Amino acid sequence: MSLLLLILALLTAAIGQVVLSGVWPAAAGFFDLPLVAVIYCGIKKGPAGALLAGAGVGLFQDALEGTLLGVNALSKALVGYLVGVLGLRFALAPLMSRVLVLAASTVLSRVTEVGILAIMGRRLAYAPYPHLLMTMTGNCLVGSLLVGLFAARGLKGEAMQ
Amino acid sequence: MPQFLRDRRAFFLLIAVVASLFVLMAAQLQGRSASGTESWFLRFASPFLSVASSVTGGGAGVWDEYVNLRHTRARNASLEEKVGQLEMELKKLEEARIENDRLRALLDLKEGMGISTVPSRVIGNNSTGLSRTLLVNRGSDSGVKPNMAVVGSSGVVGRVWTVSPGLSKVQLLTDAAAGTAVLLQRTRVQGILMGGGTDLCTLEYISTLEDVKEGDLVITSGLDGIYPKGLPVGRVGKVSPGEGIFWTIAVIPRVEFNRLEEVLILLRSDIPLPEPPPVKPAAPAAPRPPAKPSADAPGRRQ
Repeated sequence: MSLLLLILALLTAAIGQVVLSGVWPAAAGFFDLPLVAVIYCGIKKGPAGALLAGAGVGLFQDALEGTLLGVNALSKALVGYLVGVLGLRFALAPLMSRVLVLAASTVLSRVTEVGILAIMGRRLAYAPYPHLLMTMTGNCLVGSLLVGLFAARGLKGEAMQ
Repeated sequence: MPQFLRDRRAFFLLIAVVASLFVLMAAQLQGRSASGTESWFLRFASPFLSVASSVTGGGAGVWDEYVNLRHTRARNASLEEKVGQLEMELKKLEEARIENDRLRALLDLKEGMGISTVPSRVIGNNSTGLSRTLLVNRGSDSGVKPNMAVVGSSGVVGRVWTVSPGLSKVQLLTDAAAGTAVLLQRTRVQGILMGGGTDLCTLEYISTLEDVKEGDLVITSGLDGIYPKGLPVGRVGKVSPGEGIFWTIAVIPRVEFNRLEEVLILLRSDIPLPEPPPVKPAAPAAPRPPAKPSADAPGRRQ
């Protein structure tokens, strides 16, 4: 997948998440599309690319959601970097690995956000743990599906080339 | 770039990004506005958001319409069912109201006459043949005896003919063998009302010297000892000169016998009359020509 398409996917994920939170808030809380996109970047582009993608899309998401600018960016940059590092050492394409990475990334992202907000003296408006469990489940379902789909398309494209 | 730095490029990049972001956040917390960065992102996202919002808004609208339509359909089916039930209920209530009206009219009649009566329901109707009778659900166990008068809310129906426990046969005014002592209310002229085995009766033995007009009310005279005096029987239909010295007068009964549902039996029989002869099959050789009312005769009244 070219860089342009990757950026487009990241933007679509961020905008889609914001739009979805307006149209169907319950569903929007069920998964984090930008995070899934960053994880995909981590698998495909390595730590540096995923780090930049995570920081960029996170800032974009922060700006759109109106939260403290940098919270999502930091958590997603961290997740992207770690997934990229893991992707260099382990095969993350199989379904089981993908699900594990998605679950762990969701937890890490959310813990990072909560931690940063705590450091910054901000409080969450909701109890994070049930929300975290819900988002983790949703991300595993949606993320494994989307990442699998894009991975299959990528393999097909490579085979054609 | 040295090999050391190249190997850890991503790591240094991470440190740089994390540090920058911390600085950004700290600056925001210290009151410095990041609105420039924020507005840049918002400006950048604005067209995408507008397009996405209009698309999803339209989609949501279509979805809402679809959901509403589905609900409307289900609600429509439920309401149709309810309307059916209510219509049935309404018909029952209407039927009850009509029955109530009939019974009230009978009650008024009963109270007006001052005679003990037995209300009775019509359970059989033979008002189409030459022999015109009704079956009612009261008999000897209710005190009903032969020759008792039977009336409806609009007038005289006939007399009790035969009685058994729980059941009575009523001979209608229009029966071929029925005869009733009557008089014309306007002129007080007396006559005998004879049934003809049709829907009409004939008023006999009224002299052509008497004044009889179409529409005159015919009431019972009480002379036959069966019907109390003054009960309405019918109205004069067609009046024509008969053979000899009497008018041929057709009388339209007030009661519509084939629509009777409830009647009152008057518990009064002053004159014991002989049992009526058994009904013979109608002799086709000697039918009585039915008298027909004129075209301008007054219509029936219930």
